[in-house]
Amino acid sequence: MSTSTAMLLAELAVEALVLPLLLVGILRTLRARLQKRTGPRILQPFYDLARLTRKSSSISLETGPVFRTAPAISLTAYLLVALVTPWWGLCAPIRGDLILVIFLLATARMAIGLAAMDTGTAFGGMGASRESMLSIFVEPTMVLALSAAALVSGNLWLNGLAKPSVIAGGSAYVLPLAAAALWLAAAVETSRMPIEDPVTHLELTMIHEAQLLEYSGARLALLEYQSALKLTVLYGLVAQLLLNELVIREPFERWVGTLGLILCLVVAAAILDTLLVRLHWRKLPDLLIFGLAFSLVACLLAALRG
Amino acid sequence: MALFVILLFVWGLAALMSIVGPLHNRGTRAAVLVAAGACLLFFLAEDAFRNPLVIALPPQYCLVGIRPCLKFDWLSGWFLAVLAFCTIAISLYAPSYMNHLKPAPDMRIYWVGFVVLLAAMCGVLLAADAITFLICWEAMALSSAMLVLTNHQERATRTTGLIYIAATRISTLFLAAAFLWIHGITHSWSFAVWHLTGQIATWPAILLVIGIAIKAGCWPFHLWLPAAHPAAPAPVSALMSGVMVKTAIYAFLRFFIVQRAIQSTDAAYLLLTLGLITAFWGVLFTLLQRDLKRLLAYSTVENIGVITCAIGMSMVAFQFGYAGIGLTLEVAALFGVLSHALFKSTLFLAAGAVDIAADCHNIDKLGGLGRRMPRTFLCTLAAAASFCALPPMAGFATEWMLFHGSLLLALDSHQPALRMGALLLVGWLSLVGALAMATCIRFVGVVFLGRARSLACQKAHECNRSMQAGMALTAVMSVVTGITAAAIIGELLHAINHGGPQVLAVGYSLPMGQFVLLALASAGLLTSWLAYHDRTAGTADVQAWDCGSGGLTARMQATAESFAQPIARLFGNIYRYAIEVEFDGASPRLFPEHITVETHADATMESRVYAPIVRIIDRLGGLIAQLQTGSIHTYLLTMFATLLLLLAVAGYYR
Repeated sequence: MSTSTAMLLAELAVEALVLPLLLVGILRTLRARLQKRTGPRILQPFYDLARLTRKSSSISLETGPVFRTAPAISLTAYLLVALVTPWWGLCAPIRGDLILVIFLLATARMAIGLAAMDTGTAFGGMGASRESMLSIFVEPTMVLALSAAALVSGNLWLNGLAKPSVIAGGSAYVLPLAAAALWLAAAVETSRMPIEDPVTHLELTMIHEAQLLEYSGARLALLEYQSALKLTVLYGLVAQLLLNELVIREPFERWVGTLGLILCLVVAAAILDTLLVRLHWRKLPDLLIFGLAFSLVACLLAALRG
Repeated sequence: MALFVILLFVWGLAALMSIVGPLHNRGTRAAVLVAAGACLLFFLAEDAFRNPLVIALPPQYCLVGIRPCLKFDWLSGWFLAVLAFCTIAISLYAPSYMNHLKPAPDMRIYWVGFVVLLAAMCGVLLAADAITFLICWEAMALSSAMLVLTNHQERATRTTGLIYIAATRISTLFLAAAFLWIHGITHSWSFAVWHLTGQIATWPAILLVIGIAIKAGCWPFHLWLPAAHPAAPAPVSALMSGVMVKTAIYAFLRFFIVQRAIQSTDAAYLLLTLGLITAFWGVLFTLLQRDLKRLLAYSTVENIGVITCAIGMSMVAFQFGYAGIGLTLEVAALFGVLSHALFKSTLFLAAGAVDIAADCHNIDKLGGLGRRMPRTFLCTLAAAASFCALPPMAGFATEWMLFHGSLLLALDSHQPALRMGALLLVGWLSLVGALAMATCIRFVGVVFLGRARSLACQKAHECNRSMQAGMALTAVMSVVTGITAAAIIGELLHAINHGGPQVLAVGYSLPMGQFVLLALASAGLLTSWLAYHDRTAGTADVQAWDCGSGGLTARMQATAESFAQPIARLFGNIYRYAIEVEFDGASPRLFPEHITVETHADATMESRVYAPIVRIIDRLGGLIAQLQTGSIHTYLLTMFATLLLLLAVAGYYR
């Protein structure tokens, strides 16, 4: 391993460990300020995580090994996603493609879904079932949006998204549409408004959170970190599509641009969390179909360009 | 060839063993011989894979003027290897399973049928001419029908047997018509001579596609699959679903791609369309099934759809001149056959184990079996992961090749329609994949996780060692073939290109080894940290959150029905899904004493399309029955009229 690769890996590790929690902190503080509350400190997620890892877990008597290991499995899937996607603006250390990413996300979803079923509660099953319904929209949207982006960059490997040399500028709206579709899918995956209220305490209205209801202590810490990582990686991917639209090629500029865009998306999320109300879960398909439509149009335009 | 004769001899001996000899352990002896034969078959397959060989049987075995020909090549070898694997697993599993079956089946019929089915499948996979193919195809259909009817004392089983036999008849009808048509053009029964292209190939190709699609269980001919599987014993379902429907996939590949016997763009589009609808339809109905084996049968419909898509797309790619991409998709289909055979046999065998342990195959009455049957659960989990195409399982390699090939087509092609078509295929298949995931969480979650929903479930215990071994073999193989997919696919590409024009195809180029190592390291570290943390920080045993209602019961957890509901609502028009809720009591709105929820769903094809057809046939049958009065005069008159009619037709066409 050359020194530059080692440097790169070290940088990635720092970014993957620190940035997600920092972003969640910024998001929470900003949302609180927008709602005229004082809110927590920006570094609060770090303290929360430290507190959770110290605590002992409460584990339901009815659960089995699936419940106990699912957080580790799903976090592993997300760590792999973070290793194969160029979410931080530079090439990922391992070559991966959109198919691998989609199925890694599916692995995490299956692990958490089964863990929710393992609790044997009404809420767990409800969450898993609603999450499955949402995934019917999210998965094709992500696949199509990333495919359209891959077609524009002329490379099926995800690193092609971050390799500025092959980007043909002026993608005829393909990339903005794909980015919009991916952003909507990311909103579902990360439980933002109007899909889900991230701070709700009413179990009946929960979707993703209902699956995690039984978790506590160290396992909850893993899941909290995982959701922060998910937010960062998905926003980072959206940022890559937008950067390619803006034809930004210089690695350093891309890196800065990615951080800036991720921050912009976090601010946007905070504003939307404040402005919007949660939709009834049965109304969600009407919203999510837009994501699917955007990605389909992006694909159509990308197909016509060739 | 000598090996093949020995193999048939061993299997014949197995059939004999089940008929004669001491009564106890007849099944075990037959099973051991069948498994030994399957091991031989594996060597035979390996040999065929590397050294292609054509054998014409000696002249004394002439059938209708032609010498039956057997062709051993890589394609046969691949399918024979799949057959061998599944057979070994199933014959390990079968004896103890059959002993548990109530009412006790006739083991003689079962084992003889099993051996004939195996031999017939070998015949189909090896046949090099239409007559041999058709005879073996028939033997396969009839012997499998015999096995489906193992439990023929029950009326429901006899009905499904009838549906299955009818489906095989129609399939053979279409196949025979196609073969006759092609024979009319080429004047040969030998597959090697058939090369039809252009306009002339269209109709025979369509007939062929329909005939094979019925066997494969493609929409709209999928009807027999969900009917036959619940009725058959688990090992038979595993063999039929794991391998027998794959002979249809083999036929698609043999006629349309490998042998290039018939090249027709229409057939390619027809196959692609059938595959797309089949995959979606299959998974949609998997989601609503409550019978464990019926659910698995519908999921087979889905998997067949995905494999058919790969074949159709591969044909399209070949026809547009993208040979490399066509080959990639062809390999996707081939690997799909392997991965599906492995995980679906595992799932069917596990379903049989659950059925025996809990004496129930309605998933709404099961639950919490994971802790009582940990090994069965582990096998099911591995198979389900492969089914959902989770990396690094074999299913993922299939899906990756298919998606990657289609995306490559979208990238390389210059026709916007083709590019868009390839992208739409990927989107559609990811929709199917998301639905498949939902069905998997539902089925594994409801059956194996949560609380036991019945007393029988609470008392369930693990199946015995030989059944575990059968399941474990296929489950472990789905993991192993997934991790070593790159090497296997490389070998496959090498065999395909051997001795022919070299076509450069994309192999399985993900650095899977790296991923597996990283995943193992990460998951291992995290789980051991969690375990260490649990030990040092301690855990508190609590009740799951019940909103303070005073304890949860098994009836409060999500049922299979309620799990499927959000998605069923989305596709309500296809299912004709309806939910009726009734409140009962003195003040039903505020203080309901009883709440009844009823959901209705309908298999649209069965009720809207097939039922009217069956009614019409029934009515026509009634008309014909009027002739059968038992009066010899009517019969003679009918025969005479038929003769006159045939003479007139012959005279007209002369």
